[in-house]
Amino acid sequence: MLSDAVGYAQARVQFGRVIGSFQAIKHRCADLLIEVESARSVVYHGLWTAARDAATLPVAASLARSVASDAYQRAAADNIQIHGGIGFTWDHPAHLYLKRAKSSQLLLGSPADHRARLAGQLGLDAGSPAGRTAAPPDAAPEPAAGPGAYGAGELEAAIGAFLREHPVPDPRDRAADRAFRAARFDAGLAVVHFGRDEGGQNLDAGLQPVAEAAFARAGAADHFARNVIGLGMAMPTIRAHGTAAQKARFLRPCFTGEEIWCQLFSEPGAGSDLAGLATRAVRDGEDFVVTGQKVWTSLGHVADRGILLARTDPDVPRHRGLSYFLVDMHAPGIEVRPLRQLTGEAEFNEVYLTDVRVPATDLLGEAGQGWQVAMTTLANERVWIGARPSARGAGPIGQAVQAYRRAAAEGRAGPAATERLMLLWTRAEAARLTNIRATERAGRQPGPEGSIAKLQMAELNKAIYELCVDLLGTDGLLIDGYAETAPDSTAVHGDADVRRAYLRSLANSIEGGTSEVLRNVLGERVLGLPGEPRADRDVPWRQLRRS
Amino acid sequence: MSFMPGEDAEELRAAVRAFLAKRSTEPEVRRIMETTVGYDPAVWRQAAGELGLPGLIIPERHGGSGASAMELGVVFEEMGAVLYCGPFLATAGLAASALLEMADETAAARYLPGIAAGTTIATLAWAGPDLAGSVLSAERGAGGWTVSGTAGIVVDGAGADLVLAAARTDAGPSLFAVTGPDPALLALPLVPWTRRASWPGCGSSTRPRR
Repeated sequence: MLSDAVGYAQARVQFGRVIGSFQAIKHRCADLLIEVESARSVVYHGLWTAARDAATLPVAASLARSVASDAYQRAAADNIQIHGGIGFTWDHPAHLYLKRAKSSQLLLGSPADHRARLAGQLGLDAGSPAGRTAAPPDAAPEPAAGPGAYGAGELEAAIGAFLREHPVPDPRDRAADRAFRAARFDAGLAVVHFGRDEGGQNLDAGLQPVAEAAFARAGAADHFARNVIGLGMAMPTIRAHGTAAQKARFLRPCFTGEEIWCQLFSEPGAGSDLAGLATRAVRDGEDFVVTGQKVWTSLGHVADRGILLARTDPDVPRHRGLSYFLVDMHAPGIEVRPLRQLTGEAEFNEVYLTDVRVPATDLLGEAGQGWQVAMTTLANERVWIGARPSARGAGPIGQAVQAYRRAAAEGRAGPAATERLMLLWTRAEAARLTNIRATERAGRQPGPEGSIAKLQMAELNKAIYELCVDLLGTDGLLIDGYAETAPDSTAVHGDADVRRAYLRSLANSIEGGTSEVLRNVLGERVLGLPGEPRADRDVPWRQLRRS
Repeated sequence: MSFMPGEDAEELRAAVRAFLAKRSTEPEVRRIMETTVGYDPAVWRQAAGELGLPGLIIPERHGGSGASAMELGVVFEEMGAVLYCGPFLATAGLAASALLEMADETAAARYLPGIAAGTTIATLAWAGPDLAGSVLSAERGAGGWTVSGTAGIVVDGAGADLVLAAARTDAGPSLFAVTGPDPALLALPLVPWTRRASWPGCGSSTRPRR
């Protein structure tokens, strides 16, 4: 059905355009893609469970029925809508799918019925004792390691040997922690799929979670929140596009935490439309001279280095005139000002660059190739923002379950709240399983799975934290102030206080690619729908209209 | 390890897809939808003979392939994609699973080989998940068990040779094998939602098996 709908959207012309080029149609198709992939995840997980783990089958079956049945019904109805009048005819097969979908719900139980059953199985129905806190069962396999002779067991053994030589230091001792991570880098246990001189040993990328888990178990500090741009974005980009000298200079201090990174991409006039950015970099001898203004710079106030996208040639069309630099944030001419957000905090900054001299050796990739280099960064960004595979019921949905239990204990959680919770629980679980599938393919160039994961995470976080606040009742009003702090770590995935987490979640569908842009990515790159007609294609950047 | 279908399941998918592309075209689907039994017996026999589909999850000792739920799911996926009309859900899904769950070797040996061979069309008559409160009830008399009640909608009941009926008894919920065609089994074909379902009223049916 999805392919029927997309095929029609690619062929049907109205208003002089293929209808799939309109976002109204494209975004509907993108949402269908997510529904279908979610259904695939829960159904295959259910079948896998049926074959292996009878004890958790009831949960897996109710999960699969509720998510897949909703997906089928929605896809069938949307397929008719996308086809328009022809989809309503007897001769077109679209109605047959709708009838099959609806008959399955009537015959095998509606999605809401299955969510209610699931609530009972998880002890989350309104009648359950509020004190029950048993962890929900989970039959999902660990993220898989790829094929190859060297498996998770060998890697864990190697890490065990390393840890015997290098005891884990107190995480609060920054110097000792850096030395520990330097040793880990030199042993090829930093990013295991990187090369020998790059902190890895050319293993399958699917083994990286095994390494992270082994070090976490041993008590090693997690640097991800502290240096998320460096570890999640700068390292993979430098590894993919850097010269040998650049890799040798930047990868190790980034991994050890000696150098914290920030990202200098977005500008006041270039948000979703990143390629329209106006910061200029002009060649002057052995340097580029950079002038412009950047915004939404997480960790800018503590960063030592920044990944910078700037315009080196304003006389060619937008995407072709960009270059990518690795900038010293302590260089003269850089001013970082905190940008206070609606939570009261200043996680982000504005960064003003005035005649900043950047050595030409800090150009990553060729001049004019900045857009291609940046694509590597953005694909990795969506992977880290979206896909942090976790245990079933952990993270934001776990907070919602706790909030629900407290409300239930106080007699404030009726069947409507149960249904709302279970709808989010099933969707969060489907997203988690889809992320596990994406992780199995990760490590190669990140693909559009990252866009699916990021889009789902954003929309789910907003809905989950809103439910959490609603479950607080009037206590939700008691937010503990809006102090302007500038944290030295990032936490896009929430906060122990759900009121703050709710406010923060409003950024989730904007940062790292808005949900609207991600639906374009899914519609165009995954489903093959045409892009919008563009007024700016092939026009020199200098001649474009800008806000 | 992954929870996604493995190579075996994907090979089966390819074979089933190729088969259905030939034998379950849209005109065929529309033709079969209008028939009383709701399937083409020749295609069913071919699906059994060439691909062993009805016996997919039935153990080899009972004539099946002994495949897992994953393979069964992949076949469902392919059949759903082309709106295949036939008693696969009823026979290979509901009835075969119910018989396997019962772990009754006598009943399994009696009914599963026919299902696997494609000669027995079977289905399950049940009235919701609450078996203890089933509208079907059974009583033991001199000549055997009598199952009574109206089971509501039974998938592919009109063409079924074997109806497994979940009914209340004094000893708790039990599963009865009602073999047809039985005049007491009233098959009332419904307006199809592309899928044949019937309303068999189990008036007084004998020859049951627990």
